[in-house]
Amino acid sequence: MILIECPFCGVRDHAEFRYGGDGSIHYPALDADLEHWHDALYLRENIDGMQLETWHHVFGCRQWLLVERDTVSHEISSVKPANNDIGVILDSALTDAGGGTFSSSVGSSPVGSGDASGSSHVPDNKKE
Amino acid sequence: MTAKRIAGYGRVNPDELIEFSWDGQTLTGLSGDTLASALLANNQTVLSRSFKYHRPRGLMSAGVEESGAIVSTGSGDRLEANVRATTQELYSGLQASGQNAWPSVRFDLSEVSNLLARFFGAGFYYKTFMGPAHWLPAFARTARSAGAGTRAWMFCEKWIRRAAGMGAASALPDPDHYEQAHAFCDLLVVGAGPAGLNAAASAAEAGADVLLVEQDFELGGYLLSSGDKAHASELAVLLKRIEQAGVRVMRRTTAFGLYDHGVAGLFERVTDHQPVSASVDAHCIPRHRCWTVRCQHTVLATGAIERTMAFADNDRPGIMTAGAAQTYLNRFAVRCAQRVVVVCNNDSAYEVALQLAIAGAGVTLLDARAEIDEVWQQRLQSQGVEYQSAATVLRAVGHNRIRKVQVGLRDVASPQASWRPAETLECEALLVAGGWSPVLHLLSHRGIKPVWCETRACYVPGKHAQPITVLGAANAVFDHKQCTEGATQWATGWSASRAVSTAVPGRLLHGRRPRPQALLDALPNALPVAAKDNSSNNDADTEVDARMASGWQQDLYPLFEIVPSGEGTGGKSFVDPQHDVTVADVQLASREGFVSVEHMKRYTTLGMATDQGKMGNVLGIAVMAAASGRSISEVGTTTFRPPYTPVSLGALRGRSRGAHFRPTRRTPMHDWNLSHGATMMDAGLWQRPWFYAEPGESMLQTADRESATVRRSVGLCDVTSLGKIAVQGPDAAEFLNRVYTNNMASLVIGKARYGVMLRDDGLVLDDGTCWRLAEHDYFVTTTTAQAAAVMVWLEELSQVRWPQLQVHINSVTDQWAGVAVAGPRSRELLALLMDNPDQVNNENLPFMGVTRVETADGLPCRIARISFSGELAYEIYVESDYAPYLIDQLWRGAASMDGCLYGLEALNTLRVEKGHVTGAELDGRVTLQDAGLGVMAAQTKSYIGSTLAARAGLTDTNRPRLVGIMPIDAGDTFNAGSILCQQSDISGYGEGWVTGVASSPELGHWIGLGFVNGGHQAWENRALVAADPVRDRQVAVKVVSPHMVDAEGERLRG
Ligand SMILES: [Zn+2]
Repeated sequence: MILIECPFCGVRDHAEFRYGGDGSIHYPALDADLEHWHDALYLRENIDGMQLETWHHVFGCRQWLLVERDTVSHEISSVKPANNDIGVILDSALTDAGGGTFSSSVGSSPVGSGDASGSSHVPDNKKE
Repeated sequence: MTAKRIAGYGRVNPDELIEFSWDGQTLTGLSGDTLASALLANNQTVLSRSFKYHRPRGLMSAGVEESGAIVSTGSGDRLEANVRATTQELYSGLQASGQNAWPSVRFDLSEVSNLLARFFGAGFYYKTFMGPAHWLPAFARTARSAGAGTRAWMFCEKWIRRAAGMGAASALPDPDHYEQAHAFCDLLVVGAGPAGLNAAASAAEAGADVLLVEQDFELGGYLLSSGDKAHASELAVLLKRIEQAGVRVMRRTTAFGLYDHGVAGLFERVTDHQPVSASVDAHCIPRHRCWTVRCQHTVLATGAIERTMAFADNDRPGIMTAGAAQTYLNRFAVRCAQRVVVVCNNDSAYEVALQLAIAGAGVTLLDARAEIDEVWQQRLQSQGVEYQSAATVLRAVGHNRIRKVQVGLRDVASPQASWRPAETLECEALLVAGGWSPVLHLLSHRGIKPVWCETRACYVPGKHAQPITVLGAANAVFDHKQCTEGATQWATGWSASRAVSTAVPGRLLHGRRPRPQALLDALPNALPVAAKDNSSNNDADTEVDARMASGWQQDLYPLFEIVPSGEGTGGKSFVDPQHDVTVADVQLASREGFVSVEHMKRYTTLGMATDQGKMGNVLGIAVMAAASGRSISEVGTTTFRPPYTPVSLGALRGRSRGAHFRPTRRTPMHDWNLSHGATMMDAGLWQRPWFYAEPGESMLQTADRESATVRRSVGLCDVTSLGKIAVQGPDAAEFLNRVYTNNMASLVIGKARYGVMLRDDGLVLDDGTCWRLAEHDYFVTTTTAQAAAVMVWLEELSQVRWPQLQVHINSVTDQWAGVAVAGPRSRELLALLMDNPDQVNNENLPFMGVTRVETADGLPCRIARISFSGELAYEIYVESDYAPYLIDQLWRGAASMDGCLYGLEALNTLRVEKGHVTGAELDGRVTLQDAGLGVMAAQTKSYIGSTLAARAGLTDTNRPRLVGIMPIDAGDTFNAGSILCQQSDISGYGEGWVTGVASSPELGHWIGLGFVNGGHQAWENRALVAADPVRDRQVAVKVVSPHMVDAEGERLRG
């Protein structure tokens, strides 16, 4: 019955959302070796406390969100767009309203992956 | 005749008689009665039979904690089992009957199980059914040594379930309807007793939006039953304030659970208090509603429940709590008996004894405490109540009704309380006042453990920082004045602190988009009042106030189990009457090493009946503490879970029933399909044509005709349910290239490609087609089953993993409707629709070609020449609104070519013949190679899943691979789901399995697809058996290449 404040839609019941997974995972590049992929896919912390996770606003704006949630109390301390570039746009739009906190100050979003092989034209600032 | 209506008492209307039936007998009650008070007034003493021992049981309480008067109401499809007579309102024509007894509760032949009682002790089920069952007759011991207990259980279950149990539910469909609803408020107040009413009124007067819920049909709580004239006028004032302040009130509504982020679940009984006909007439009124309420703050003014004490045969009809007797007298005008014994360990019973005496009963009061207060003594004497201190009841005597009690006396000088038998007293009712237990169940739902308070001998709220406040008796404040003043004070303070934090919008949760920071401030956890609010008073320094809060002259004497000195009395003393758990059971559990209270609960089933131990839990814990030489705090308490009282499954289900159980998706051609003879079937949420039978045709005959027609001429199939996704943007090509296993970047404009997506772990997610409409514009189709999952996956990849890619992903499944046109004459048919037939000739629309054209009628279409059937075939998509027109046009042409409409059954035949996979094969466990799609794996690029697909376990050539399956004897049929085994060893997982079968008119026999270890090459010339152990069939089969028709694929390229 938890409430999630979608940066785009406002406060909504969690029934509108679909839980994604661990939001702290840095997925390796598509051509990374087996060990990296294995670790990214199968090794998970079992956190007792604040956890970064991804949620998808399925019955809403269809945006993927990064949510900081306490696994014990369900307290949610932050919700941001998973796509940090969108967070930056939101923040600048909210300057009049006292500013927003939807973007990370450095780098791109905490979640992301390395580049795919053979796609050097795409900017990639999150290579592990 | 011992119980009696007393004129001038109560809130019932003596002029409004209500007829109802009890066990087939017509009785009369009064308007304002509960079923319990009406039965009591009619001197019905045995109302049910107990769970295990079939002991006669009567009224034990006057509220939700009732463990005795559990009855059935209604009949037929409205038969309702396990109704507490104490909460069922009386209405004209109410049918009620006893349960768990045959032929009736008064003469129950199963009571013999009471004589076998020593076999039914704690752990009976575990001991009997988990170990070896040597005691069973040989025919029931068929199991191999392991699991014998389970077999024994299966053998005995029927018999035991009939003997031990509760009422039987109706097996008929439920004729009533139910609703679910949502509500929002600033303050939710649970319980409309003195504390709740005052808190609600004060908060609302200060401007808060308050929702007050009360499980009873009347507001007032204790004020309704105290018998104090001043309370009646106080209640009238409070009700006026509530109304004027705009408090929203829900009566007959139970807050059954508290959940995260300020959510409460409410169960509203809308029509249970009315004759069935009235609610049926109203028709649109649901029987129950299940509410989800969101609030900023919750007040629990849930009161307290009176405990009983454990003495021999403390469950005899006629024994009830003192508070219950007070309620029956003052609220329902029923004096429970002429001759009454009151046994107590605290002050609260004194008022009851006095009131009963004033109402004409002969009363004897036994107080376990060493002394009785002077003032009380005078008052008792003035009303002729006999009393004795340091006295209690050792044993109740009587069977279907209590006849007398044996008094026990203690030596007040001795530190150890043991009770020596003294005289016996005649009585018709025994009222027990064992102390009060605050109702903290809802707090427990939020993970807040109650704490034992020695002074008040009860559990009190533990410390917490949640936006919940416990007020009144629920907070172990038993003094009326302190209850009301405390509640008012709290509500005033809360309102003030709320006004200060102006950032909190008053209607925050009503759907308005709040500003982000304001929202964070407003989240229930961050409410400033929550931090300051410390509703628990269990600190040592507040203990001083505890006695005052009790409102009693003297402390309670904590007495739970009454232990006679010397020989035991032999009777059973119950701690949990509803589940027939006795003191001896708890002691046995302790002796057998059940130290944790949670283990003891499960072993003895204490507190696991429908009342969740409302009366018995504290008693059980106290007995356990004594048995193990620990204090009650050391033993701890069990966790209460929702629901507080039973909630109907109908309410939880709401309207999600039958056709509304899940959404139904229909294609825009649905009606057209129906009008052309389609029989529909469910495909996920979709309704899809299954087959189009002609008169007299069976399903199989139809499918044979349809698939043969497609291979011979042309057929039309509604394929709208396929998932359709628009992938657009400068990086669309790069995006799709990473997602699909094959190369999509090299796909030229105006062409389509079959494509497969893997998951991260290298297993197949889905297959479909990918059309390149323009440089930056792709149209992707998915399977019907995986459409939603693929959409979510692509959104995750584009937003979370590769936010740098400039790509837009939109579902267009509902925007485009599609028809597959398949068969050798399909091009000819398509040409009929065009101004210029050359638009669809082999040059302009080659195999895997894509075109966007208008038909002769100006209908814009997207056409791709792709084939699932293996024939020359096209998929035509139009905007959804045009779909009926499109298929109508196509059908006119097809009919002239001896073509057909075909459904899923024929579609399945065509794809099995060709070895094309669907969800039956792509079940989340197969690799590209397993599915025979190895050629789809690009060697020149990386893609999602490419790294992990290379794991040794996934590349083993001996993995099960896709094969075709044919019967050795062409006349044989076999089933999907069969296990493929070697003839010599039909067991276990075999060598593979069958995923789909079809009757193939093309080949003249049944065929199938499936997976076999190593693929068909490994099994050449070796027969297998398709074993179907469920239907007990074995068919000899051979495995072949999955491409069973036109293996070279010449037809679709022509
Ligand atoms: Zn949203």
